[in-house]
Amino acid sequence: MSFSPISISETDYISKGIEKNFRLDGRENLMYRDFTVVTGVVSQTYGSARCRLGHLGKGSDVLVGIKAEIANWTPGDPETEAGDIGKIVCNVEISPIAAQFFVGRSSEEFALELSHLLTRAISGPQSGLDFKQLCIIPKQAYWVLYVDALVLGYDGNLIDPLLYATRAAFSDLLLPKVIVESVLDEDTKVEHQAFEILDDPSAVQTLNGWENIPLAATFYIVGKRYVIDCSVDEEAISSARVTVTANQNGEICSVQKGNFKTGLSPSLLGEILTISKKLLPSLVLSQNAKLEQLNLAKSDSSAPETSFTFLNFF
Amino acid sequence: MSLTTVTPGKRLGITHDYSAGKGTYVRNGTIFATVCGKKHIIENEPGTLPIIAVLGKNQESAIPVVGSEILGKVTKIHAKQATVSIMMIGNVPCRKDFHGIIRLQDVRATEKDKVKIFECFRPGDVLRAQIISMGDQRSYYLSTAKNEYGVVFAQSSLGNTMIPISWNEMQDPKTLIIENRKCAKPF
Amino acid sequence: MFSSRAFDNRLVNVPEQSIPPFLEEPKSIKDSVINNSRLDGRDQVTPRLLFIKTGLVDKAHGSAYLEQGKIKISCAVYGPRPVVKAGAVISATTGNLECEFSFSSFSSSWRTVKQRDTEEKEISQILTQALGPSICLHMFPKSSIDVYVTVIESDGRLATIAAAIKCATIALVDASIDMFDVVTCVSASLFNNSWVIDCTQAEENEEDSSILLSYMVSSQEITNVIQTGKTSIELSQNGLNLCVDVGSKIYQAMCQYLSKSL
Repeated sequence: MSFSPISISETDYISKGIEKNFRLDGRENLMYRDFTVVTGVVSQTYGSARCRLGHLGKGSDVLVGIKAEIANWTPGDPETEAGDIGKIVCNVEISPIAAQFFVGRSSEEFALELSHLLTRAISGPQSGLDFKQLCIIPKQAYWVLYVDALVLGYDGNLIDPLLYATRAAFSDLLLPKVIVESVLDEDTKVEHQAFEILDDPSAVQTLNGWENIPLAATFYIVGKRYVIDCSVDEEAISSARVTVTANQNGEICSVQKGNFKTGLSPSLLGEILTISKKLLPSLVLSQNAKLEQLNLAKSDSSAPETSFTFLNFF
Repeated sequence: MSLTTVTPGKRLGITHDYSAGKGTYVRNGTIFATVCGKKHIIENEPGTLPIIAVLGKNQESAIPVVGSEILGKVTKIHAKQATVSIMMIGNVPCRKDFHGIIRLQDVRATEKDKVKIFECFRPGDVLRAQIISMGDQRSYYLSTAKNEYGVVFAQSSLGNTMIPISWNEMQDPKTLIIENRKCAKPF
Repeated sequence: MFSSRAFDNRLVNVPEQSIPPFLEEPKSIKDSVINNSRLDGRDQVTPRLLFIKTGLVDKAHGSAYLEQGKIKISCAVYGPRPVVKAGAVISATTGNLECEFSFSSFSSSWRTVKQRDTEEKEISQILTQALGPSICLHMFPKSSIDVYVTVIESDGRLATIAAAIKCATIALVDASIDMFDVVTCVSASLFNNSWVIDCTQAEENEEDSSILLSYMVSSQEITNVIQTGKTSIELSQNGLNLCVDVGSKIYQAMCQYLSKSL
């Protein structure tokens, strides 16, 4: 969804270039810009990551923080009806720093769309996360993970860095360990379960299955061609958008179409699915390699993450 | 001959044999319907292709188009403009009134700098005007700068319907008071 | 001052939380679906029967009422009319489409009034995206087409959204708004390796994946697709193709009704 108007000659220039597989910044139609990722950047969260797609100072920039809270189970909620799983709640906000037209309430609709997109991608069995691990006491208490994303820079294509940063944040997530014990209530003589969160900062657990979180490839349709990872101008001239998320095994986790100027033919959708099957597993592997590197660098120094590292990359 | 009913998206013919009329659109050389209605084939002058049109059951609602004649009611007057609520476009009523404004320079064709809005329009007058531009975010721009455009119906300050007596005067038949309006030519 | 219009929950002694009485545990739906013996007797690829009626809301420019199984949806369309939404971009070359979707509080088995807000906004966006490509918006500059959908009873979240999209299209045609094509919408759920069309709530609770596909048959364009849940490429393709096929059949039924209603 683009907000800035674009002239006819610019539109013509960009679309003719895309037909010849040559875009404004010299990339081919199916090439990504560089991803840069840093984890553990927000100290008040249980896990966080910041991802930038593009060069320093110009690119889409998303910061994701995960906070965990304990909720009491109530029978009314259809998502946790079974009583043995936890929950993930996603929220995306777009900061006015990202672009001038996001000042005020104009970004609300777009942010809501991104929130729903993120929810569909990771909340549910398709994310591969172990939701049962988030249950503390069945039918009584469970962890709720609040995944909050903040868009700090906008240069087209917010969805891919959004999922990239979410996956990195989940790799960084460390939940405190919880001890569950049976307690005998003195007044009613009824035995019930109670839990206690361990205060020890080293008693933490990672969330199983975070490697299975899918990454997104967003295809923007321009005329009869499609491009991946478009910039602001290309987004302004595109007529439809398809986001495909797939995990490291090449399994498709969600397909969502956005932007309602035109539709797309079923054969084009099939082509897009086939291409994303090739693109996404390699993207996941490259992210795994980057996160490995970050982990090694972190385990060396015992000092906490400082803003120096934060600013160094961004 | 009973006419066939078509739904939006139904293929009607090819541009080689017909030309597209109301209620249709052309894609890749084929004519498709855009509304649900009866398909009409209208013969044109000899030498040109017949027209395919689809006429829906509901009266289509009108959209203001630059150059079309409108009938509207004055809702507000300011020193520099008059606000009009557009009720009919051509012969078709609007489903919901659109907004238009008549700027000072568009009220009449001569002596544009000497115009006083209070002597040309009053709130409640019904007038005929022409749409001259798409205008700004809120309203279309209208013009009454021709003889046949201007106030067609107005009530005097005492509530009686007035009769136009000249291009800038209307008279209340009961009290014989004359009020200033920019009148449309009645015939 | 006491306002009779606003109902203030704080003044009435309702319990903080209440639940409807539990009925007996339902038997496993998944097995019966996989064995091609669904509870209502359909096979895996047959959608529920449609009932459509237009023109029920007098004041609206176009309206439609749709029933599909237990799902009951009513839709009213106003337009083209001047844009009233605050903050909407008014363009001199294209019109705006605003869709508003709402559940009535008695539409599903749980009475949820507060939590519905975000879900309703999400589905309103899905509606806008599904219907947008089909309307000739370039013919209504500076105007807005408003679509209001109310769900009276729902049975299966995706099936209800699919029915809402169908109902909204029929209301748009009833309002004589120029459209490129009629939009049909199909929902499907994956059970193990087979796709099952148009599932009820009980069936949807046990699904592995789901697809919601909105399709314009004559132009052969997918206006909106949402697929959630893990599948392989082949299964995805199968599901999308199946939805396109079933969509064509539903399209014929809708067009048949529209031609007869005139």
